[in-house]
Amino acid sequence: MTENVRAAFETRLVSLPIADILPLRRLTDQIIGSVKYRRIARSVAEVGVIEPLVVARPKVPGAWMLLDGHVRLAILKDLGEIEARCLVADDDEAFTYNRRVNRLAIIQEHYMIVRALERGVSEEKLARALDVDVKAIHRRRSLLEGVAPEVVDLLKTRNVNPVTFDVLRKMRPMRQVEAAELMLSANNFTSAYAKALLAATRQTDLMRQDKPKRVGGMTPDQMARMEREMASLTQDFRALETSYGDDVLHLVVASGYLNRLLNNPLIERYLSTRHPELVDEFRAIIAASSLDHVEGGDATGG
Amino acid sequence: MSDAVSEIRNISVAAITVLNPRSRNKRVFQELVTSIANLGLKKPITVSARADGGFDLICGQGRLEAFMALGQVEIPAVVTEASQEDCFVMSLVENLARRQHRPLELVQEIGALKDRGYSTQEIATKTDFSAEYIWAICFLLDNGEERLINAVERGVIPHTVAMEIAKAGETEVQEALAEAYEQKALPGNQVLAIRRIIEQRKTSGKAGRSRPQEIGGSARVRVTADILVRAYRKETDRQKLLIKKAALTQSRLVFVVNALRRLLDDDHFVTLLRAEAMHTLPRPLAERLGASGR
Repeated sequence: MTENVRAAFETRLVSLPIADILPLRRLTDQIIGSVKYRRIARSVAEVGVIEPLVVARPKVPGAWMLLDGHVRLAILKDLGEIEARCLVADDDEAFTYNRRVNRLAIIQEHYMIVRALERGVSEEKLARALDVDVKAIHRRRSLLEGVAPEVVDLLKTRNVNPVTFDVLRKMRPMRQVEAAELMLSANNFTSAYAKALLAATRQTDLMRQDKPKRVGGMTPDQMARMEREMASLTQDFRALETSYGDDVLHLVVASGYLNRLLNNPLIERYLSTRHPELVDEFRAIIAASSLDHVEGGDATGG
Repeated sequence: MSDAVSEIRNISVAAITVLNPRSRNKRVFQELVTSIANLGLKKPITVSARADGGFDLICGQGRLEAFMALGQVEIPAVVTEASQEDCFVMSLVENLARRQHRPLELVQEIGALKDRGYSTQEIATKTDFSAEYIWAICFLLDNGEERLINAVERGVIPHTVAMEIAKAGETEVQEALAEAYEQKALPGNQVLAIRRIIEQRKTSGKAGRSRPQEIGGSARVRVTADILVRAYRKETDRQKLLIKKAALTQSRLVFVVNALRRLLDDDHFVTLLRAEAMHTLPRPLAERLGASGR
């Protein structure tokens, strides 16, 4: 028998005077001036508030504490609404609501928009509700055209800049996959990095092999250098990336042990008389293999 | 959407159709399931009643799937009536017309609970996080460690390690990391990611950085050749440096292992080690000595 999951709210929604709902925090001017704020406001005007605001029952009458929906409350106020539909929580914590949101990745967004359009939702209505122009909807719909399926799979739950896909589709599928893997390894999905990868792509790995690539005002020279460099680097890098982390830590652990050895007067004396050449080297390693030196200090050479 | 219906009903999960499903980050979903199991459902889902007695989902796919994963037959839902087209539009709106909270903003709610006089343990119970986590977050908040908070919330740094970093000097952090690694609490590549954050924190301060772009976002930075070259340089430099360091690290490690092997062949030395109770080698070293054969 499975245990029943508790509902952490009262089973009736209430309609509360907006004046009686107290926000926990002020919205900053930056938030109120943002594109997102305007977009949410437009969507509220277009389809209403979909999920109710969440409040906690007041200790003193007439002061309901707002737990979730600060932006929507401000928008309802702006719209001159007097009352708002609210869910009454049985607790007063406001952390869980947004902490548990699973953000929609760009590729999932594309699929949802495609499916909605297929099922007959009009582009205009969608554009209006999301407060974007119809062209933006078109771009989202064709987001993955010419993108290799392997790439879609690699990036499907990542927060990828949409322009990145415009860049990727200029490459042949094999190179697209390579680029996507590099992006994952660098955890960098910006369009700037994608364009840099394009610049470092061999002409023969492009979809249009006849058309010399042009990337953001970079000279052919610059691009040629990047190509050569990248080819050799990527190989070395892949081979090392996995073992390096372990090596570093093993060395730190090892030098910690060496340090303990040399801090023991008896052992130190024995080693200094019988194995002096090792002791010098041990000391050098102890000094050099702090994580700081391994990770940060070598930048200046060494 | 109509305001007429204000009742929350328990409806059968089997009667709900997800019109526009999405796949999601598995780790985040698993966290949602655990949270719902322990704290309960914090918000009902929203559905639209169809003429045939079934329901179309408007929002709450994650909650619905979590309920199913927990073996529930029914789920509390706000039931409205909307055309199918409206359901599609509303579910997209719910997903897209949504402000993304920065980790700092999110955890400020924990700080707010503390300001309202709740104890660490009380907050832990309310939010289904460990008291240890709550304590660490409050400490990081009090010290303006936005970068570390970001890292904790993104799952890069365990909160315990973040605490150590915030509290301790460089050497102590290093020891803490090494210890965590030795106890198998942290994989090596994660230690490196942490190192990078410490480095950034040292050079550009504790505060975090900017956020990703959204659909149809208007403020578009012109990408110049300069920016491209820099983005590329940064990555290749990182790779080159890593290759160089990796070679150096490896050669040092090989030296230590060989030196120790030679010393362990020296019977006097081994006797001395035993006498001084230092004959137990750290695990990774012992493994390396064993693996390469004596």
